[in-house]
Amino acid sequence: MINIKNLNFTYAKKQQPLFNELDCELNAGSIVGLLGKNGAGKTTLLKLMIGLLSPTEGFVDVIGHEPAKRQPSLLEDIFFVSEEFDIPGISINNFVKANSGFYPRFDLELLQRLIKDFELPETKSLQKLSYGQKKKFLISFALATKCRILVLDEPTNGLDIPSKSIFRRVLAGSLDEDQLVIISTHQVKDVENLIDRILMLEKGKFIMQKDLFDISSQLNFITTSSTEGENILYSEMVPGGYRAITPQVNGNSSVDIELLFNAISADNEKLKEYVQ
Amino acid sequence: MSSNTFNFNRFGMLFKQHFIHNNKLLMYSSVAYVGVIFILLTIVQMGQDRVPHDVEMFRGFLIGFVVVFGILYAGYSFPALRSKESTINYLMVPASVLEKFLFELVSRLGVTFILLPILFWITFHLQGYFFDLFTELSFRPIGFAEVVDFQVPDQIRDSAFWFVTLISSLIMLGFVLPFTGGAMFMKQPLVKTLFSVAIIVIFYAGCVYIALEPLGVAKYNPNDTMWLIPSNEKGAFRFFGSAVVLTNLVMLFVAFRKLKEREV
Repeated sequence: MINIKNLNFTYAKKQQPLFNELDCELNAGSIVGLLGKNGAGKTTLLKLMIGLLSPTEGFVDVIGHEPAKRQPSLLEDIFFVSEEFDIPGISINNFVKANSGFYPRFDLELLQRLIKDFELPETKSLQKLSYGQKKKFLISFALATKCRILVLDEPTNGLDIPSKSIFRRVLAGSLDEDQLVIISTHQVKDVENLIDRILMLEKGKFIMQKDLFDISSQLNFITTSSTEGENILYSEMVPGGYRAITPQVNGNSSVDIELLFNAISADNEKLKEYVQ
Repeated sequence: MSSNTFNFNRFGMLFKQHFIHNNKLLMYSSVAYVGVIFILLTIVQMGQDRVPHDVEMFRGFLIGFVVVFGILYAGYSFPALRSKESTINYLMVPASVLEKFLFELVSRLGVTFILLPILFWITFHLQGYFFDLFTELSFRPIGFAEVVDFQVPDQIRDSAFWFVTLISSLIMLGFVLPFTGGAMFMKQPLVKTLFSVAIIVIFYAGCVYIALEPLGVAKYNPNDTMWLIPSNEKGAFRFFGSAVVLTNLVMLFVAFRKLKEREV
């Protein structure tokens, strides 16, 4: 669905390239988490995928289109919810009337259900909603478009705790098999149990591209009272003991994405053979 | 939705989206425009012993209002490009660059050349009839035929086509320049920018003057058929008319390319 080959990108000729020879392939039917530290280039990569920026070298192919051309046949299949957004001062009904026609698969019933799930109030002006409510409306609208590619940049920023859980529930429950969701976030806890593939960006490269299933079949995430005597690849002190990563020996365990992220960011040599 | 270049359905949806998103702004702006016209016409009439406005006043005010408000409105073209967030929304709307460009051009020029004159005509008459209450002289309505009843001077009757082309292209350029500016820049121009542009224009005008007068280029008497060095009025209208038409086209092309290449 999204195919990136030898992607190089730099904002200005004299600057260091932000991305160097990036390669990646993302397929329909999955929710991909794009993780990375602040400034790693997560939002830039998303913009390259949806055509808001053009690659310096290499190519990006999205459903058979070159996104930088911004052809309507591709744009009607992509919805982008950016971290900071602009929303017109009109009612929800008018927003739907003005924008839904651009998306051939728009599902009004789904939108009404999501608005109810998110407990969004009736309003004459979307401007009067809080930042979190506006974001919940945009996420609902994005899901209701049924676009084949949904790109969400820091979707949980500004959401309260119950809304984060509703977000995970509605996202998992509203998607079709032919849809791909890319979520860029540095709040990895918010998307745990939601994403099924991780892309981790650092210093212009993907330092990890793996399905969660593969990770959980290779690595075990445990809480232990001591780091001695165990085959521990990485550990972090937590109240009451340690959270640790060990090689998987029997079956699967649920992946602690934050711990994994910290371990890989710490350039842990032992883990490299498991995740690359 | 087959064509990626132009589709009437999508083009229509851009209008629908624009008018739903901006209905309040359009309504308030129209009320403000009508209000300003009404007040100014009233002040002028009071200053002229309450004598009702005639067709000459109508023409003068019409040109003044349409030029001032039209340039302001054209300069506010592509309003979504004024901020990063709204630019993202705008670029991601599933419509082609050509559709977005034409929508902006048609709506800006349509409002300037159709809606603003119609609103002016309505307000002019409302004000005229309203003022009849306070004066013994009666207001005479202005018809469309009277407004466009110009007498072309005898000297330029032979070159009327090029004369009209030159004037209408110059008027268009007045609107096309701010329109293109709206596509190119995120912010309104600063005073220092306008000053720099004025200096550049004065410099080139000075160069042309030096070439024509002190260096004597104006004394050459070239063949009538030479386009680039006109020797009579017709030639001058033809040359400058063509130049301004070309300038308009180049400016519109620049606006289109800027929109097409926009990144955020």
